[in-house]
Amino acid sequence: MRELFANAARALFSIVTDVKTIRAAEKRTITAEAVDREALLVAWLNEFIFLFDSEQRLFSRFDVRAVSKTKVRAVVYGERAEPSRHPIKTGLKSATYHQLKITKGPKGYRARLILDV
Amino acid sequence: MSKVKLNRLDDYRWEIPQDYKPGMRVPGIVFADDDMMETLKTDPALEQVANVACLPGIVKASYAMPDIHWGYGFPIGGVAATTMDEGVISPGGVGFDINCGVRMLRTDMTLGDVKPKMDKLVETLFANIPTGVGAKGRLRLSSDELDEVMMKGARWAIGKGLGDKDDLAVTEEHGVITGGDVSLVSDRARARGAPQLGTLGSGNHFLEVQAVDEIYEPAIVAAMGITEPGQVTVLIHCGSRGLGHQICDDYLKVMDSAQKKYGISLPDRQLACAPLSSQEGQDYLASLACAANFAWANRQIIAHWVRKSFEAVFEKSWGTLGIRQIYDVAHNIAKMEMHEIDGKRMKLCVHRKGATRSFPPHSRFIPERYAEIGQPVLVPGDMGRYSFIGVGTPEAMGLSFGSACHGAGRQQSRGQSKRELKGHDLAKELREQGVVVKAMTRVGLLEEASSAYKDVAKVMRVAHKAGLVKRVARMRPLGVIKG
Repeated sequence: MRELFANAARALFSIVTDVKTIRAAEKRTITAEAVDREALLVAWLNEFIFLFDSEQRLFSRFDVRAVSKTKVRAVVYGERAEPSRHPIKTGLKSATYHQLKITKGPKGYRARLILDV
Repeated sequence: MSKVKLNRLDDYRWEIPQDYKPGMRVPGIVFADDDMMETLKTDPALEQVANVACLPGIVKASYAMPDIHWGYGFPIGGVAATTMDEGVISPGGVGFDINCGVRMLRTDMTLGDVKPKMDKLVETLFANIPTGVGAKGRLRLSSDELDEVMMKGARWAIGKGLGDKDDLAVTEEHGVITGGDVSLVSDRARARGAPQLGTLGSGNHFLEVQAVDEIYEPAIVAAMGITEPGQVTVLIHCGSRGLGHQICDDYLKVMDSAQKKYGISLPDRQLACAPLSSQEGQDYLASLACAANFAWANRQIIAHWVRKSFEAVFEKSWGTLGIRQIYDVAHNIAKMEMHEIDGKRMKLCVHRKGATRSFPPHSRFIPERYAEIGQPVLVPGDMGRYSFIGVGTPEAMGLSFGSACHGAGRQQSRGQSKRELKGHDLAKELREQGVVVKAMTRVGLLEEASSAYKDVAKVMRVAHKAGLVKRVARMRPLGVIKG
């Protein structure tokens, strides 16, 4: 589950820019809470959308320390977006609950989440 | 093929019967012609129309305008009205970009006047109006000033000298909705919104200099100050930026948690809602007013910089250039309105998500100067083709709670459009067609190419034939700035 959350965050930033260009220059502790695991994934990703929209922060490393059904805590690494180094592909409005699903398969967890861009 | 059951009602209306799926409280009604319906049958948007029909307190039908396409929860182009006592309010029925809308200006200039200076004009507009992802406005707002913006809307901007008082007379709701409560707006929404006032944003938002291309109803457009083909107009399309996105986000979470408490069960979580009479519902409405007012202030400020840009390029005052506002309409909003249901006048909460209000002549909610013609309905198309002006009709009141289409509607996803046009220099291709485009990114431009959109002329034709709006003029783009 920790990997799922980390990968979802990585996927989010890969939509915004080329994640390879994001240096781990600063770290932040991120926590989020929600009523269930699906909503927690939405809340988790919305933390990053907020930090990108309000502080222009991009992240590329997600050290998810703990995930329960309703809470997530992580230490994440990234830097401020610089137009010269980070090609911004799109802005993000929010993660949505539309067709939101987390399923468990033979190889691990799988999530479907749709972002409003 | 979609499994959605459809009954044809007439040439331009299709019904999704109430028995199509359990939980539907009213039927769905989709405005489309045969061609559109062929494409729609494979689109999940029809299922979304049926899902919206499950909202508690919904009356008459879950409507879809002819530009309907797949959205999050609600389809884009969806209209749903709910009763005050049993009905709900749904943030997803408004959308993330609260009061996204369109403002149109007319000028006394002609194609011949602006064509030689088009490059300079587009450059100047691009320099004066912050555009793109994370764009910050030229205004630095204190927290108190942001409160004022959220309470006073476009009036705040006029008070700061950013526009003309007459602009308010031709703005839906005069540019301000009452009932806002800034104490309900989260710190996060404020942090996202404060630096973004006076910015166009990214995605499908744009600012376009246009020329009137065809006039269908000369007497009607004359009342808007449009007299001849070739006359130059300006269209501004944007909304409440990060402030609205965050407010929607905040209340989706609130309402998602409140579903159980109110015994509401819906087919899609993104439809999360709360009774209009509940604290959650009332709080969302008061926050929505704040975001809507922010959006009206935003378009007001941008319009002011459009005037300033024209002044700089043509070295005349905007008054001399005749830059006056035709109208400003919201197309993502929920509002309390009076409508007739089974012969009875009722107060309803009308959700329009990607739908434009289309009120008829003599409605007391439209500007006095348009009493004889009806409310201007501004329908932008894509940047390579054309946009339309329509006016509201008496029929629309009965057909769709006085609503019409809001644009062309996407036919390709952003990703699809980018893939298909890979390697194209769209700015160069558009220039060859006579459209000067300046965008923040080349990729962003590819996402918004003409081929990604349905032909707005077809959408407008159906809306016109169905009686949702009367088509009165067509404009074509000359210059476009995009995020």
